Amino acid sequence: MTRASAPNAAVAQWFEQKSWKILPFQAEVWQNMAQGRSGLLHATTGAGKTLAVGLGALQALPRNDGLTLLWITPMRALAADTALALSAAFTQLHALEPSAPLWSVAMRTGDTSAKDRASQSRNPPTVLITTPESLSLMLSQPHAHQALGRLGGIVVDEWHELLGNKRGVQVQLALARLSQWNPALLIWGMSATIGNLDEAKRILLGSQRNHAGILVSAQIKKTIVVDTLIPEVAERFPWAGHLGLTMLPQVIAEIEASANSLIFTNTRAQSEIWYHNLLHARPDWAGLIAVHHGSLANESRQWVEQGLKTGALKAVICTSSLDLGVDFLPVERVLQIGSPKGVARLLQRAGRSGHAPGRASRITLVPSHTLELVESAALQMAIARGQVEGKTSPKAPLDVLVQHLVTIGLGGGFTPDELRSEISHTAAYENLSDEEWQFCLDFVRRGGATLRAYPDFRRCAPDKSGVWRVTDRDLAMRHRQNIGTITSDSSIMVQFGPAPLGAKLGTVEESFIARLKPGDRFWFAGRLVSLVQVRDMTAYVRKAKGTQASVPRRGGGRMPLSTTLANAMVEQLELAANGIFTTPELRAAKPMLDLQLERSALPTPGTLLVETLATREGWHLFIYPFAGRNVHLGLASLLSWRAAKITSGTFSLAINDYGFEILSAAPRDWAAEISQLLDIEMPDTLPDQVRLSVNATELARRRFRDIARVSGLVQSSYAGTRKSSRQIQASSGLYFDVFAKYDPENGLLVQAQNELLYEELDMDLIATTLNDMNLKRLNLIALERCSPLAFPLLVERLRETLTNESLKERVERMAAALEKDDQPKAALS
Amino acid sequence: MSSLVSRYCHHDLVLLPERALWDPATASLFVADVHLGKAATFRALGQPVPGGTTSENLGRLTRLLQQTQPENLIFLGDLFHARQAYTRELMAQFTAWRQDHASIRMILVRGNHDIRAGNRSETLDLEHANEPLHHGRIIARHYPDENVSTHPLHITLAGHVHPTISLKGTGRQKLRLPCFVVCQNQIILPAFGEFTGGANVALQRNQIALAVVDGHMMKVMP
Repeated sequence: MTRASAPNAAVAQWFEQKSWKILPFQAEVWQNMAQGRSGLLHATTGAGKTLAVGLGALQALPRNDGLTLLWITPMRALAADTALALSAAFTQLHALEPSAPLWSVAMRTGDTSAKDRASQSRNPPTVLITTPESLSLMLSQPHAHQALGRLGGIVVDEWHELLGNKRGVQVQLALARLSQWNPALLIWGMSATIGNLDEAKRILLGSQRNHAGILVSAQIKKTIVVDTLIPEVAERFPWAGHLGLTMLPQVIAEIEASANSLIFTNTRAQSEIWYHNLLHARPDWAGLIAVHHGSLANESRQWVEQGLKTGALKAVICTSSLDLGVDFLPVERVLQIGSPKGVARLLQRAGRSGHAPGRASRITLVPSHTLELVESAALQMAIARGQVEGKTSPKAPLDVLVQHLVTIGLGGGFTPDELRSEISHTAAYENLSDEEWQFCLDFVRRGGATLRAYPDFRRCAPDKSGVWRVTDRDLAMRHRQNIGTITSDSSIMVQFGPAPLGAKLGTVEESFIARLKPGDRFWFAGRLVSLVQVRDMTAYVRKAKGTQASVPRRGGGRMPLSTTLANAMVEQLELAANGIFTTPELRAAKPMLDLQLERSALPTPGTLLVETLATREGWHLFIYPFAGRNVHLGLASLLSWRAAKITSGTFSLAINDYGFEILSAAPRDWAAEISQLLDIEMPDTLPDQVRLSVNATELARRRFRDIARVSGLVQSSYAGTRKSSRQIQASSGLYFDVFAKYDPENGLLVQAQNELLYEELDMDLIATTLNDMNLKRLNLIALERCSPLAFPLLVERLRETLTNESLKERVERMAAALEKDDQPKAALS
Repeated sequence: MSSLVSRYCHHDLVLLPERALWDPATASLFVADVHLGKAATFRALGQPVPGGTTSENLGRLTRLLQQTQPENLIFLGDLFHARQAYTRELMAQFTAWRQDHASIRMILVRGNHDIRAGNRSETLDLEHANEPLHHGRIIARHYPDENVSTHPLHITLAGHVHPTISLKGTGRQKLRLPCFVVCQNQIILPAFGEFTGGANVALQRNQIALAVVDGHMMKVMP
């Protein structure tokens, strides 16, 4: 044990020199790592978790000449901070005690140049900090086993950010591979507070290890204060489209009163708009406030982070990009604009303030519409009761597995039996069926389940010795380009240009740019720019005149309200219904709640509010289950599908976190149909009914977009600079249609449907919610005028359509309706 | 079949909801952008697309030939998707189909995809022509003509853009349909092929769209 004892002594000495105390959780992590145990560290940012795991590895792992420790971080921006923190610690330790090994630290992310990557392969660092995508890329290299086989440990930072999504599944698969190569591999994850840490640990470690791993908690009991900026006049109609800018003067006053503040928003667009408006109101703050989001160019992001550290910046308006971060000083004031959508996220953001021992963390909510006042009261109640949401792994996503098969086919090849047993150790694929596995093998070999259906197809196939490999160079290149796109959307560069070529501003999702036409104006990095052209993965822009963006922004965050929070909200509404307005939030929302009571009623834990309304647009049905937008989407599809069974028709659906609307253009007696729509007589057939109902919408077709990208069906459309890939570009919609028509059993189509049913819409929650709705007393109200709860649904522009009519019937009715309006834009010939 | 007979430049033309155009005067059938072998091209390059689209395309063409009994079948470009489209299977399928309709003269006005794919006209028994092809009073092209002839007796037919049009109705409903784009002297045909996709067109003031709906045609004004 001489090897381990030298660093041990040095570490203690180093802490002493720094006049730091070794925290109990750090000692606990070191001890467990030294004994070869893996585990999960539950700690907040800034608590010393990087040193806990980093120095633990230094003390536990013998150094070899190759790569010893791999450090996975969900965000490129974090890699730099981590690298700095670790290499400073290693250097200083070595200076203090020369017998402590000097570990070298390097980074490898999408930003790393080909030259640097090559030099890393020739001359590997001891510690490599990388992202899940870059790790997959490393696994796709022919010499992957040689390069990574002797790895002693792997650290997954911010595991709570990865755990619930497909990037996390990518990590699970990589971990299974690395553990196969080295069964003694140490795996340590770090996670912020979530409701199911034990489950998070199980998913991280997989079932390959012979022990369950350790859960170490660094949580120091901390008081969290949540309060609300109460608007002077709360509008009586809560409108989700608008971004709370009426609160600008109050937010300015808060910023003014504190040395430094963080202002969290839910979307990039929202952060840009707030930044712009703050600067407009306070031009003297130029240079003192900044905007920070994941799309910004590295330099600007670093400038902002530096400004926060040195205290040069008075306020930073940010998105979830600053939820994470290693070396981050606490700020005095944290504001949250709009709903944080869940308790866990609120806690994490609150943790950005008041790190000093004994000081409370405080976060102040800035409601962007009146119902968020109620949400704020609900959040406080949930925190007081200690209710926090959990996260779990996606179940057997075939697109990620298909991608992994090609990755491994490139990275040295695989034999099906061995790989099957390897991946069965991951939580994501522990219940993978034989049929699903066979589909994935067939898919990469033949394109689909039947040999006949996909002639001439080649991607990955067994060689003479039975090892499956990818041999085509073009395919290999396309696949490696594609690996990064699992992030949910491929991103393209935003830069001034093309002539004269100017500064790079950052990156933005391709789907956003795809909706723009040249000349469209949008806010980016605090500037109003207009699109010139898109070429070679770059969107060239120039400065735009004026103060108005011409691009409609996406309404609010798309994150659904958590059940925990939604239930707490309904309890708050019941208080209001009983005339109890004790909190400042409810008092401020009183005019709106009173109007709701005057025109309709309030939903409570015991009643289900259903409203009907006839307008020029048609016959509306509003239902408020308070189950979050995803469940509402499923319920809206199901109920309108049932309505279409009663009398066929076409329905337009609008949803938000509180309820949903079904709109029929043709006359409809919703009140007479409602009990039939809500029926739960045959719960067994419910999944089938929901399946059928979503098939009548475009939902599965849209869900297929991500799956098509991850499984490598569609390439990022601006990437195709090579001629060979240009002629094989098709939209995911076109793929969906051709699969649906010619290969309806295709596993990826089935996956699209299952993801839709069980992850996006959450079938189990739909069933529970429908059941709950039936247990409640139905409060059916025929509105004479729109109620405050109905209003945001009524004006929602993003809508789904469900129909069981033929195209011709629909067009005929559209035409008839247009003629009635005396605007004969369309007429049948 | 509910088709639309219209008079353009003193010329009766029949716009078929099967996404084709019939000229009774010359007994000619026109189709654009069939993109045969597109799926096969994808497969050859490692992108899985199920088979069956070629049989479907040729089957739909056969039904049209039976309905209209033409003397000429004129492809307005992009009959084949790419070089990789010329697989043995597809060549065999096409040749058999060509022999079934040996009496019909078939002309391909070459489009951008045909040019890249290379010429197989002899094996396939197709006449090749570069645009513009003058056929009676019709000028057949692949690319729509931006400075279209205003000759009172000439009408230009073109493909290439795969036009579609979006409709809006009450109750916030929306639909997207393939269409013919018609102006005084030019008609742009919708793409005929399966697995081809389309692009929404913005109608100019002098243009109307004729959308294809379940075997019917519907007029849409800008």
